[in-house]
Amino acid sequence: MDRRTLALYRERATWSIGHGDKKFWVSLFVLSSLVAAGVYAYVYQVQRGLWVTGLNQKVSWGFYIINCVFFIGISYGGAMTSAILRLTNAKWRAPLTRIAEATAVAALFVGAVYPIIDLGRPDRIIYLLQFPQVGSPVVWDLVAISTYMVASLVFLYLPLIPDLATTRDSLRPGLLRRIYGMLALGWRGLPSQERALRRGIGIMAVLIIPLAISVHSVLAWLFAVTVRGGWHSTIFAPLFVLAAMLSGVAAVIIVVAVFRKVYGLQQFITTKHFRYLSYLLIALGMGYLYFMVSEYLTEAYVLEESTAPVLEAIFTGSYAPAFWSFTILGLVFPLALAALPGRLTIARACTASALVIAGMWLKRFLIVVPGMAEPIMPWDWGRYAPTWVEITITIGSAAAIPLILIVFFRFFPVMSVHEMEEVEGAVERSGGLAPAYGGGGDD
Amino acid sequence: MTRLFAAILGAVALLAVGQQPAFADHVKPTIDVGARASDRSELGYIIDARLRTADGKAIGDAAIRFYELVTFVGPREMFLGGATTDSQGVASIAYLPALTGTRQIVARFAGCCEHIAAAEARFALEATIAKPAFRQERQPLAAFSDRVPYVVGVLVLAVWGLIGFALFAAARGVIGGARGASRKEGPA
Repeated sequence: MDRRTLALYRERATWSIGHGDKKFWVSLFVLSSLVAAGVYAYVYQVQRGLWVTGLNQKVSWGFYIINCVFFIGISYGGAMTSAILRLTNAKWRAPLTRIAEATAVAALFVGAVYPIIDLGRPDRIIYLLQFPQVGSPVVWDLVAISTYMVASLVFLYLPLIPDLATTRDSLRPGLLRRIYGMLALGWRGLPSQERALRRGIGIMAVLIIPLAISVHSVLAWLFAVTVRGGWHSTIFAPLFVLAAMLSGVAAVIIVVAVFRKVYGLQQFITTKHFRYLSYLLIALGMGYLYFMVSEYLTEAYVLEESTAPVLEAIFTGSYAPAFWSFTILGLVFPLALAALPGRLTIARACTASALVIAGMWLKRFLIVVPGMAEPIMPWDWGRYAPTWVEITITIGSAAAIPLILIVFFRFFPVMSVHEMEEVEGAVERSGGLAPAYGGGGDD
Repeated sequence: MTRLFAAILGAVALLAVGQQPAFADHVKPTIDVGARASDRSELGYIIDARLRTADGKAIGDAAIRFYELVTFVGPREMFLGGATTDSQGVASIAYLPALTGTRQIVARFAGCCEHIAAAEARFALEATIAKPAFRQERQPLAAFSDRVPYVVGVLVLAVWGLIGFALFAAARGVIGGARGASRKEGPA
């Protein structure tokens, strides 16, 4: 990368820091309003109790648990994308890792709030710490999510240190410069500092993968260790992990596309990045499809008494429209769309990702609700229809993720400057390969 | 005419009197309740209720219900069981209390056949025999699964340690490098 391009890269990565154009303020207003509506709905729920939701005695897990699994899954995909790209030393990762890591943290914060929202008495969350039952998956869920949250923050912070120093150096003396200076820990790009930082990032990149797997496995075991039909499955943990990666990668594609467009990063985040991310999406989607077929095939072949009504409801009953919509429009079609050769790679990747995200949410619905509504006692099926409270909280929380991201990138560089310099340096040293940011045309 | 009217009235009056039970509340029975330890210790106590008329005649084939006065979830009667009196007027149930100590037993007869009144008697049973405390059966694989949370706990601590190490070692290296460079450069 020549000096001029590197300067442009640095300028594009940091232009939003301390600046806010009209688009930023409009986005901030719209997203904050949606989040405020979600907060209002939650306060309404806390004041009146859970009866204002569609949850009932039979279907006591609804939108909230679906959203918890969904958003934590998205977080997992973001962290995994970054970790895998770092561990495989993918040269094209530099403009993507920061966005992926920030998406992971933002989605995790939103997802982790949902178990508390699901409680009629949120003050009782403290009981989980006061009277933990070590045999309960809920306790280990708390442990896994809190550990993963700390690890995600560290994984976001460590690669940020050199860029904090770059920002510090670009500021005039004052309070802000001192804050950035403190956060940058006196970074000067010395070899000893590089070594220490690389070791820390390396440990975190390795650690974040089993951690993310453990978080989603524990979430899956919340379902799988019960004796409910449709839940009691040995394949649930890997199925959840794969679903999380799939929806997470899809979310990263969309977030990257939006920031690329809004921040004018077209020169650095190119068709090549979307093509590679689409490959990842296709591979994960195929894996998920295989796991799903395997799960349903074994369950449907044995057809235990508890499983039969659930499968019947999903395949041909009242949940069949949702199931077939998910399978065809949320999985098979998007994968085909992303896999097809041709033009409009970015548009196709984004459309496929949006469909995958919607489909994966629907799949979580199909896991949670029919499993709960199934008649364990010989009575009729439970019914669940969300009320405006659950819908508003869901919309508000979904808006919180882009809100967190645009606020975060107003203070921190949207692309890793140091990583790009490092990768480019390595490329130059290794004999002038194609520039890491380049390759491929632009749609 | 007057005679006919008087005759009709008399007949109606006679019919009305005839509707009344001839022996309404005529018999007022008494119940004597007692308890003895059963020969089979797992049965606890045999509670007997003897139902008799005031002149001591046994009343057979009468249903007696037994209760214990409890205060759990508010004062109330806990149904223990029911039995029918034999030709001696005795009804018996086996009762094994949950706890030792004084247990207030109530035996109740609801009355019968519109001429035997209801009756009730109370008895304080000094229970020295009680159900053994509930002991959960050892689950299969218990020896293994009891240890799993501790192993997972150790793993979690190790992960936290690694996260801490990654953060603090990196921070230490960065800060140390900066300080070392500052020392080399000397005071500005």
